[in-house]
Order: sequence, then C-alpha cells, then structure tokens
Amino acid sequence: MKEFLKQNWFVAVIALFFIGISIYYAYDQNKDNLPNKVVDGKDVVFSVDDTNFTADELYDELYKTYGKSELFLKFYMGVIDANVEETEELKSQINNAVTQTVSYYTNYYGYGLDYLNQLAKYYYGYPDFPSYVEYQIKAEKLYSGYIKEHAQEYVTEEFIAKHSPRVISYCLIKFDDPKNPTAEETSRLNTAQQAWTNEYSVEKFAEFAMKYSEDASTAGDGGLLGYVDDNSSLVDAFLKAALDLEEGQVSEWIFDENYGYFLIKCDSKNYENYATDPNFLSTVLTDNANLANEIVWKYAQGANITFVDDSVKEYIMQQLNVDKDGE
Amino acid sequence: MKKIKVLTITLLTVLLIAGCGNKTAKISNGSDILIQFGNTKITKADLYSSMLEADSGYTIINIANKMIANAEIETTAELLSEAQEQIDTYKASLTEDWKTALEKLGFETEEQLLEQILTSIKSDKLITKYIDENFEALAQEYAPLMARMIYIKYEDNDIEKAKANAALAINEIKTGVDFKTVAEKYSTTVALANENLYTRYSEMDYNVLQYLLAVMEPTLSPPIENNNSSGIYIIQVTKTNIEQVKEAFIDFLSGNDEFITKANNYYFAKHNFTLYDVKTFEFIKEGYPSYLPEKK
Repeated sequence: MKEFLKQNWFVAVIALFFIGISIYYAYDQNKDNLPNKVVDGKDVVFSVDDTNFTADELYDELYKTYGKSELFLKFYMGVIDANVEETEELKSQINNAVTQTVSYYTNYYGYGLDYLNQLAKYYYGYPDFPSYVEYQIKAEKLYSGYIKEHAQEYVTEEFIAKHSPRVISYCLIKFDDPKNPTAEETSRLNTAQQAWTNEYSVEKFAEFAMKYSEDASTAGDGGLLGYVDDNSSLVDAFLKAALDLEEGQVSEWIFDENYGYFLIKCDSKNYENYATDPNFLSTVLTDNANLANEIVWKYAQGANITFVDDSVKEYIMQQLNVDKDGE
Repeated sequence: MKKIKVLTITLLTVLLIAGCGNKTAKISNGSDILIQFGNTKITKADLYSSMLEADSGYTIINIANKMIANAEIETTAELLSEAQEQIDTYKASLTEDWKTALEKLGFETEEQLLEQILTSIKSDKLITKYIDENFEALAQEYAPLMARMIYIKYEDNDIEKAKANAALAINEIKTGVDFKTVAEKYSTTVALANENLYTRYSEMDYNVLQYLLAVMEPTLSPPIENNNSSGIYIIQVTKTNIEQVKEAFIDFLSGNDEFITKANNYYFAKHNFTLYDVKTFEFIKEGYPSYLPEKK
C-alpha cells in the first residue's frame, strides 16, 4: 500500500481532492432538506414534541373544512373536461380572454395576474385565474351545446314573444356632442345619408357599414353587433329601433344624444344564427334559473357517474339544486 | 483495478445521496376513487392535493397550536367552566335549534365545540403564560411607562407664542390645575392628554421617545421641541414602577400581533415543531414563516 501510494501519490492527492469536493457537494445539497419520517407505514407531515401528525390525519382534518366543496369543484371541472373538447380555437379563445382581462386590470387598477390569481383561488376555489377563465368559457360551451340540442324546449314561441331575439348590424356616424353638431360632423352625416339613399340597398348594408361606420369595434365586420334581445344593455333609442325591425329591414337614422346617428339592420331572427351567442345563452339561463346546474348534472349522469360516499353525492346534488327524482 | 472500483462506487454513492431531495408526505390509499364518470377519476390523492392548496398551511398551524396549548396549559375546572359559560351564552342568543346551530359552526357534538373553545382559551392563556415567564426581560426590553402629553403646534410659525403657551401650561399644571383642563386650553391634540402606556416601540416623535426612555421616576418634563421642529411637547410621566403599569402592559402585549407571533414562535420552537413534508413546508414558509424553526 505504502509502495503504491509512493508510486501514485499524485493520483491519490487528486482522488482525495475529488472525494472531498463530492462529500461537500452532497452535504451542501442535503443540508436544507427536511427530515423524512414514516410511522407504522404512514407518512408523517409534522410533529410536536413526540406526537406525530400523519398525512392521513391531516386529510381527515382538512376534509372537515374543505372536502366537500373541493370535491364539488373537482366534479364540476371533471364534467366540463369530459364533455367539452379542447380545440386549438378554444385554447386561443381562453388565452385571449386571460390576456385581455389581465391587461385591463393592470391598466385600470394597477394590479394584474397576481391579484386575479388570488381572487380566483380564494373566492372561487380555482388554482389560478387562467383556470377560472378556462372553466367559465368551457362551461359556456357546454351549456350552449346542450341548449342547441334542446332548442325546441327553450326557444319557444313564448320565449320569442317575450325577448324578440335577433341578430343586428349597424352603422354609426359619431358626434362628439350630438346636441351641438359641428359643420364637419353634419357634413359627414349628410354624406353617409346620401350614400345610403342613392348608392346602397339592404343587401349591401354590410358593405355600407364597412365603408361609413365610425364604430371601430364593428365596422370591420360589416357593422355586425350580434345577438340582441329585450335584455340587451344598449341605449334606449337603439334598442327600441332594433327590436321593432323585421328580418331584413333597415331602420331610419336613429339619433342618440350620447353617440350620434345610428342606422340599424335586423340581419336575422332565425335561431340558427344566434344559437352560440353568449348573450343568447345568458338570456336562456336567466329565464331558467337552475338550468346551468341541471345541465352539469345531466352530463355527469350521462357518463355513468359513481360516488363512493353517499354524503358526497348528496352534497353535490344539494349544491346543484337537483333532486333525486331527476336521476 | 479494485481500488478504482471502490472509488467509483464511493463517488456514485455521494452523487446518489446528493440527489435525495425533500419528500412529500403521501396519504394511504391515495389511489382510492371518490368519484368516477367516464374516464375521469377523482381520487383521494387528488382531493388531498387540492385541499392542501386551498388551506395553505392554516390547519397545520392550528393543530400544532392546539397540541402545544394542551401541553402547556392544564384543563382545570375553572377553564371548563369558562368554556361552558361561553356555550351557554351562545345558546341563550340562538333563535334556531341547538343541533342546527352546531352544524352551522361545523361541529357534530357539543363536546367538539367545547374542545374548540377550550383550545381557544388555552391559546390566550399561552400568551399570558409567556408574559408571566418572561416578564422581567419583557419589561426591560419594552421599558413600559404611563404618561400623558400636551402638544402645542407652531401655528403660523409663531415659535415664541408656542413657547410662551408651553410655559403657561407647565405653570398651571405645577399649581395643581387638572392636566386635561390645561390640555384642552393649550394642546393641539387633546387625545394625548389621556394617560396611555408607552413603550420603546411606541410610534412617537423621536425626541419624545428619547425623553421617555431616559426618565426613571414620575415627573413633568420641560418643553420638548419635536424632531421636525413643528411644535412642543409637555410630558407628564405618571407611572414608571413596573408593578403599577403591569396590568396595562400585559393588556398591550396580549393584543399586539407582533408579540403574539413572537410568543407562539417561542412555543413552537420549545415543543420542537418539525415538518417532514416539503409541500406543507412551502405553504407555511409563505403564509406563516415565523412558525418555522430558526436554523441553528
């Protein structure tokens, strides 16, 4: 051994050096690690003096406070995941909604994603804000799909008479202070009015709106506003004119003291053309107070849901306000 | 060749040890299914993970606190009677039946509620116990005393007028006029004239605090110009004897969040509160860092 070290002393020094470095590395990597503890085959989460508190005990303790509500949320998210296909288009819709909301909150309130994450977690129980948005949008899709399948139950004559549902387009000539128009504003209005009378027809309304409308949010789509009914949050004069129109009709120029002059067209009263509009969905869900919950329950039953614990089943049904007879 | 083998094995062992990270405590039967529909399975482990996220360490701190309170404070007949009294008062104020009220509070039996109230009482007693056991050191650290003050602001930068008023106020106090009456006449902030407890950590003007820390006996101060030269304080120190300020000092400490955290931290360390699960460790590190044992 002595002879070996004499002959290879340099290699031995290098080896010792590397062993020393390795031992220090192992120590450094582990010095901040938590100790592990298993008692009677059960993982321990924490201890006070000699008393251990296992993960199983913590599960039972947490279940008392959060168990059922967390299970409900998991159930709800599970039903939606199982029934709404996550297409690229849907992912992009979710991402856009998240980006827009975060940007809005950052610009107007000065707090962005962190604040919204906290809100989603503590008020709605979601892990973060993007998850909250994801399930809101997916839920809309689920409800929309169901209502489309059962349109005859919800888009009844009574519904149509009550809400006057339709798809609306419009052209706006914007005035800063419509009650006191400037010469330039009056001139723009005259030009648009003359063009509408002399050069365009109902069939070419989209083309007209695209050229003359001064509402940047709709002009690019040929003035398309989308679904409108008696619940729509629109200025009174606009809403009244829009609801008075028959399919294919265009209104007179409508004056509004805040915006200027509107020319409104009723594009369609056909259900197929507004079936997926979120505002239509909102009206149906408002009319049928517990429909959203019933839809979730029906989709869950459709997938042969099984509960291990009857009290969980009861709790979920209670939260959804569905009775046992409906099973 | 044999030596190279030994060396290689040693190195690999060291690297393996280095790779051993923190552990996550798992529940038994985590793969048990609680709800299933279609291909979606919600297991016990899924639920446990969500509940931990929702709780963020709160339950662990509460349970540990309960264990410590039970170890430190004995359940006496007096404590039981205090807890029962709280239940009786609550019962008397109810308009619904007792079982429903208990369920709303999250308890199945009255015994569970009693135990919860007992823990709460014991937690308060734990703070009092910490104060009792460390009273001398705390008195030295906080330097509590009772005092009342008059503050005369330099109105329109008229320093001379303020000084003259201060001299008049001191004279009136010395001749026996009630302090509050003098304060009402001269002070810009009348509330300061109430006798209050002040400690080393009171948020006061620097010059006032220095005076309070130096004073040993009850006395009336000369006019003290504040640190930003915008007015004059007159301070009457009323009690410096620790026995005389004890009650107010204990009340102050018992309601001081920073002190309560410090006391709880002491007991958590004393009872060797140890975490073995990295997930809950992270939650407590984020939400309740003072409860984690300090590195030695």
